[in-house]
Formats: sequence, C-alpha cells, structure tokens
Amino acid sequence: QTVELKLAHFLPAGAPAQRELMEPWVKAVEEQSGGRIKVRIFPAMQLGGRPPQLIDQVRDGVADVVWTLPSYTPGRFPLMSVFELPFKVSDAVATSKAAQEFYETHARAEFADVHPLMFHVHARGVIHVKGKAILTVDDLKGLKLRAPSRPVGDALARYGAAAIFMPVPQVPEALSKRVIDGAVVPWEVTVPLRLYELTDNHTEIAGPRGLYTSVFAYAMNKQRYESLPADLRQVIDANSGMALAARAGAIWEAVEKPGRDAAAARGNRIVTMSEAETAKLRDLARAVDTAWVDEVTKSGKDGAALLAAAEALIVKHGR
Amino acid sequence: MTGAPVEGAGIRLLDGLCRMLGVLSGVVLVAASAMTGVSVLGRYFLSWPIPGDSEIAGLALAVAISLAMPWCAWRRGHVVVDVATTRLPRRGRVALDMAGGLLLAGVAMLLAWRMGVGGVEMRAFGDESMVLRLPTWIGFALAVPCFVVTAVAALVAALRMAGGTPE
Amino acid sequence: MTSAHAVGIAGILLMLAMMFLRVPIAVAMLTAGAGGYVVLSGWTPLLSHLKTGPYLLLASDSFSVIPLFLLMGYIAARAGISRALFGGAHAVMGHVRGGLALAAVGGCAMFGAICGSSLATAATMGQVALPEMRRHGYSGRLATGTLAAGGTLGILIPPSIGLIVYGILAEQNIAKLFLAAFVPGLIAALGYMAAIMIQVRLRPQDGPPGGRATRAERLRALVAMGPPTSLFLLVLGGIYSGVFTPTEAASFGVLGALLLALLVYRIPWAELTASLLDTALSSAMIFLILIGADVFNAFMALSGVPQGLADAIGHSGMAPMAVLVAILLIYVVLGCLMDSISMIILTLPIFLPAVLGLDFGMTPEHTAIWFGILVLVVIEVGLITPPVGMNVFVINKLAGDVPMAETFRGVVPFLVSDFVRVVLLVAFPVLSWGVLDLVGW
Ligand code: NA
Ligand code: NA
Repeated sequence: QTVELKLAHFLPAGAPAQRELMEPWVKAVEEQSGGRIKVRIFPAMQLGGRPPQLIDQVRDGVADVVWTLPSYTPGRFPLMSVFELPFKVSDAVATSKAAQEFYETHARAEFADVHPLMFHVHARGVIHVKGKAILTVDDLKGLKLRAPSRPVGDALARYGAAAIFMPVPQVPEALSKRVIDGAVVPWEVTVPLRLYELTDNHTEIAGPRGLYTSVFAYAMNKQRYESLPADLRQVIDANSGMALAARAGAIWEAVEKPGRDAAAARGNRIVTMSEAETAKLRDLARAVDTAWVDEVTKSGKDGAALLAAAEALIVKHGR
Repeated sequence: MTGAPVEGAGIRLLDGLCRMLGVLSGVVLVAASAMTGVSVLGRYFLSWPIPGDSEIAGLALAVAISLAMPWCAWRRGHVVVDVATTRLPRRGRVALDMAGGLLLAGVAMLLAWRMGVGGVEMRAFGDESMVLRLPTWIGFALAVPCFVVTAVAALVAALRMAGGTPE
Repeated sequence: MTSAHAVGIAGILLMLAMMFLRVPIAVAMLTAGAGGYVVLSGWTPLLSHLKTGPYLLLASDSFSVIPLFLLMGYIAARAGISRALFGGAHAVMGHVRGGLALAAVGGCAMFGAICGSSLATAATMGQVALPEMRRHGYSGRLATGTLAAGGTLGILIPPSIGLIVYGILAEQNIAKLFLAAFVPGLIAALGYMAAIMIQVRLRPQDGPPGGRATRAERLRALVAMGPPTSLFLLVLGGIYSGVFTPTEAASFGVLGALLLALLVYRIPWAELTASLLDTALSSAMIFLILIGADVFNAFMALSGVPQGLADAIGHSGMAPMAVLVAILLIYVVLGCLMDSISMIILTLPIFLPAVLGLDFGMTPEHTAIWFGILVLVVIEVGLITPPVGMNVFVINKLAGDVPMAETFRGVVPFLVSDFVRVVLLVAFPVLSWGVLDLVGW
C-alpha cells in the first residue's frame, strides 16, 4: 500500500529550490521506497494560506513536508536564528552543515513538534545598489536598503542606513520607484527579480565571513513520520540529515553564478569591500550579537555559550 | 426601515453596534492612510520612514476588515446570485435567504472559533512582528470578537426575515 | 480521471448549486471548499488551516490597496465630486444633440479615474446626470442606457478594483496593469460616445440639444473640475512617475479625497460616515470572498482539477486563439449571472495556468497583462447584459419612471460598441501592452 505525501512550499514550480532540491529528493524517496512512497509537490502556496503558515501547516498535517524559513515567524525559533546574525556565514555548504549539527546538538527542543529533515542556509548576501559603489561604511550612510531580516536591519541601522522591510517580490517595483536605493540579497535572487537590471553596483564582502544568510528548514509532519512502517521511515532517514544539508548548501552556492554572471554581462560594477572596511562593519555589528545573547539568556539559556558553539561549528565544518 | 414586528431595543442595539464598528473600520483605514502618508514623506525628505510602517498597516488592515464584517452581515451585503430563483414565489426566496443567512452565521462562528484557537497558539509560540516586535496574537484578539458579532448579526438578520424583512 | 478529480468536480457542482440557491457567493465557496477539503484530506488539516489562514489573509500587505481605493472612491462619490465633473463636461458639450449623454460618458470616464468601482461610478454619476437629462427632455431609454454603460468605465479606467484583484492573484505588477488599461479605457469612452451620436442621429427625439453655455459659465465649470483633476493627478501621476507604490498612492488618495471632501465640498457629517459604511460593506464582502476562495482553491489544488484541465487543453491541439475565445465566452456567460470580483477570484486559479500554457507569440508577462485586460473588459460587459446587469439595476432604481425593459433596450447600442472593442482588443494585443513598451517598462 502506498503512502502519499504532500510537499508544500512558497516558490513557483520552476524555482531552483523545487527543481534542484525537492524534485531530486522526491525521486530518491520514491525510488528507494520501491514506489511505496509517492510525493506530490504543491508549489506557490497552492494548499492555501500565506508563507508564514507553512511551519504550522506541517506541524498540523495540512502538508506532510514543507520547505520554509523559520524566520518567517519571528520570535518562535530564536536559537536557530543565530546563523542569521551578521558576519556568521562562511559559505553555504559549511554553514548549512553547522546549522544542521547545531540543530542536532542544541536546538532540538525548538522544533520538537515537527520532524526536521534538514536545515540549510543560502550563500552570502551581497549589497546591490543603484547609482553608487559601496566601498566604505560611510557609503552606506543615508541609503534606503531593503533588509532581509531583523538582525541585518539592526546592523544596517548601525551603519547609518535606513533598513526597509518588504517581501522580496516587492523589491523590483520599490527599486524602480526609488522607494529603496538597493537591497541586501544573495546573487541567486537577482535572477528572478531582474535586480541586475535595476541596480548597477554590487558589493561583496571579503574575508572568512559574509554579511548575512538566512536559515531554511525542510521538515516533515511528526505523526506522519512516526506512523510510517520502519522500512519507509528508514528511506526518509536516508534522505535527511547532514548529507542532505551539505547538498542543499552546494545547490545554493551553485545558483549564485548565473546572477553574478548576468550582472557582469550587463557591465555592472562588482566590487569587493576591503578588509579594513569589512572589519569596521563587523565591529559595528557586534551589538547585534550582544542583543541576541541577552535575549536568549533572558529566556533561561546560556546565550554566550550557544553563540560560541555556533561559531565553533561554522569553523569546524569550514575545514 | 419600516417598523417590522421584530423591532425592539435589542435590534436597535445590534444595529447601532454594527454601524459603530463599520464606521470605526473606516476610521482605522483613514488612520492607516495617514500613517503611511507620514512614512512616505519621512522616507523622501528625511530618508527616515516610520520603522515598521508596513507592520502597523498590516495590523490596521486586518482590524479594519474584521470591524467591517458585522455591518456587511447585518445589511446582508454579501453578494448573491439571483437569476435561478427569480420565478420563485417571494416566500420561497425568503426561505432560501434565511438558509443562506444561517450558513453565513455558521461560517462566521467557525472562523471566530478557529481564529481564537490560532491566536492562543500564536501567544504560546511567542510569534511577533519583525521590526516592532508586536505580538501577533493582538491582531487575532481584536478580530475574534468582530467575527462573533458578525455571526450574531447574520443570525439575527436571517431570523428577522421570517417576520417580514424591512427591505 | 482520478477519484480526486471526481471529488473536485462534485465540489464545483455543489458550490454552483449553493450559489444558485441564493447562498452568498463567499459562503458557497467556503463551505463547498471546506467539504471537499475534508473529503480529500480529513478534518484536522482543514481546522488547522483556518486557525491562521484567514487572519493572515486579512493582514496581508498585498490586499491592503483594495479597501483604500474603495474608501477613496466612496468619499469622492458622497462628497459630490461627480457634480463638478459632469458640470464641466456639460458646459463643453451640452449644446449639441445628445450632448448631455456625451457629457455623462465624459463625466463617468473622469470619475472612473478616481473611483475603482463600476457600481459606485454608475450610481454617483446617475444621481447627478439622470435628473439633468430627464429635465432636458432626454428619453428614459437613452438616459438610463448611457449611465449604465458609462458606469462600466469606472472599472476599466484605472484605478480599478478588478485590475487590482487580478494583479494580486496573477502576480502581475498593478501599476503596469493600470497603464495597460488606459488605451482600452479610452477606446471604451470613445466607442460609447460614437454609440450615442449614432443613436441620436437615428432617433433625434431621444436627446434634444440644450442651450449653449456662456463663456463665463464654461470657465466656472472648468475651474470647478480642478480639485478632482488634481486628486487624479496625485494618485495616478504618483504611481506612474514612480513616487508611490500603489498602496501608498491609495493612502494619499484617501487623504486627498478626505481633504477635498471636507474643505472644498463641505461634505455633511452623515454623508462622510455613510461613505465609511459603504467602504465597510464592500471591503467585508470582497475579503470574505477572498477567504472563501482561499479554501476553495486549496481544495481545487488537492483535487488536481485545474492541472488536469490545463493539461487537457495543452494536449487538445486546439488553437490558442480558440481556447482564449472559449474562455472569454465563459466569462460573458458567467458575467450575466455573477458579481465581477467574485468571478475573477473564483476562476483565475483555473483559467490563468491554462492561458499562460498557450503560445500566443508573446512573453508570459505580456500574455498575462493582455488576458487581464480582456477578462476585465468582458466582465464589465456582463454588468450591463440581461438578465443580471448590476449597473442596469442600479440606474433603473434611480429612474423610477423608466421600465426595466426600456433600460435594457437603451443599453443595446453600447453592447454593440463593447463587442467591437472586444474584437479589436483580441485581434490587436498591442493595444493593451503597447503603452508599456512605449514608456519602456
Ligand atoms: Na476606475
Ligand atoms: Na450581466
């Protein structure tokens, strides 16, 4: 008897997340189960609701598997957001593996009511601006930048920029209307949004750590997972965890190239911030770390130790 | 309105309540517009939009629409297809409208109940907005009573039809 | 056909049955959708979806333009802005044969540039223009037909609630859709004027010429058009020039309309609260439909019916144009029965994937914009076709002495003009998106 799983996410069916992560995963699971597991993908919130609901949909069994961002529900998953603090991400592979291990060793309680298959992150965020090159901290002063998350917004505020929060699909229009001067996103996003046409200067951050990343969760409904026969559960297990996290990280590194190439082909200026200026940005952003530590400590955990643990994992997997 | 037999203090109270909430809904929309306007001006002239302006606007919108629901149910403003039933005697149409009104009351009650559960969960999870850290459950807590009033308004409006609608 | 397909089709039939039995459209969608959802997925998923789904939809920033544009339009309507617009057009065209009808169409077009709704446009202009036309000896047929048809300009000339809803559901840029609707809107206004001129040539007794306005009267009338024109420039100019996003433009539109209403038109307190209640009624109606459609469309996705339909059309070997015409005909039929916003919300998740899957030799974005304009135009035709023409009903109610049949007869010349326009827009897609290329979007 076959088990049919509903896999839901918020991106269009053609997005790399579906084509390169979910579809191969579905294929592997279906084949290894001898066809006893069938997975139907529901892209673009076809099961109803708005993206922040995905995590509830998988918890309550509206969907059996979802791919989502824990940060869509701010405040709910404070520990896992440690990887979204400024200047933590190294590259997507190492940081994804670190996030996966951090979940396994420190953050299980946070996701106790779902069955996480894997956590991963996207590649380093890049500063995309129209009009001028960002080479120093001072260049950021007075700019209106779309920020992806609160930690990045807090850091931008410390650099003297105005952080504006809006859903990603609104970014092109906001840019063309000068509602914002630029956006902080990885290269990957610049392709579907055509940001390489709407901006002309791109600043990458040098050094061992990038400006920011976001954490993604690939999770299954807990009861559904536990109700599977042992051999099917094993098929799911074989397609989750560290190896899948590493593969996701590699996918998200690979999808950077087309965006960067498109910007270069259009003759946009791609610059790397000097190490001295990067150090200034990093120092200014430390207060964001401190705020995170304080908040986690207030909830009764050892914030400083958890931050150190996350840092150590990124270093460990970076080797 | 003509003086139908079921007019009374309770009906007037419900009418006044729905009307007041409906007007309040518009006031909330105007206030949200003013906030957005100030934020846009701040963004252009000072490079300083109101922090979290879209979060306030989202909350205001949800509250405004919830506040609007009772008035629409009370005035039976939800659109109905009436081509198939024009030949029906008046009594038949009234009976169908009553059934529709009762279903609407049921739907409003269902939404109120589920939103209530959702709000309690949001509170337990500590969900909050990104910039202002407004707790998400506040919006739920404001919406739920509106949907309860909507259910009552739909129910009473449907029952009043039996006594001859004043419209 | 799978068993899920069968459940899907049963759900559609159940929903239609409920609608025809006068269950409010939103309630029919929600209950039929919920029922099908339970059959396919069980109770728990449905109940948990309803915990946060409807609320997040109410709070979603993409929908916030809807109540704001409604509020702007209703304040404008209650404040008497229509009087100034009709007065201006009257002063210019009142002296020719059928001139008041021409002025009414012009006034409708201008009012449509502030107001996003057809019904509000028809009702508002009707209150002003109908008594004027009747006083000058216009036939009930021409007067009511003109206003019922002219009202449809409210939904076509931007801002348009229909286009906003289409833009959100089809994930298309609302500002681009507004711009694309301008030429079709202009063609509509000119077509209606042509229809009037032909009609008064054939039946001169329908619209006798009035007296010529003096230069001073004309000047005064034109000056009076200044405030509403500046509101229109603020809102649409702000969107096109890139100063505002649509939500911001709508917010400024609300503030501008309110200031005009209070300071220029001295709106009575009762009318102002009435405009707030009008907005509440329409917003609640639209959002309950959105909530119902969210559930119904989730049920549709689970059943696999829309995907199956798109596949079937894709493999049928039918010419893309034939598919398009068939879909537009369905909209015309539905438009004779249903409210336009409900129709867009209900059908788009089913028809749009099918249309975008066809090759019309255009980019997907151009196809989506073109299709959006076409859907809007045929839906708006539905507002004046029998048996259910909402605009016809509204205008006929305002004109107590004109029989309904006479009003429907008066609408016929405008329907002919609508038909010509639909053919033009289908045959020449460039009429819809040409403007976008022209300004380099
Ligand atoms: Na309009
Ligand atoms: Na019709």
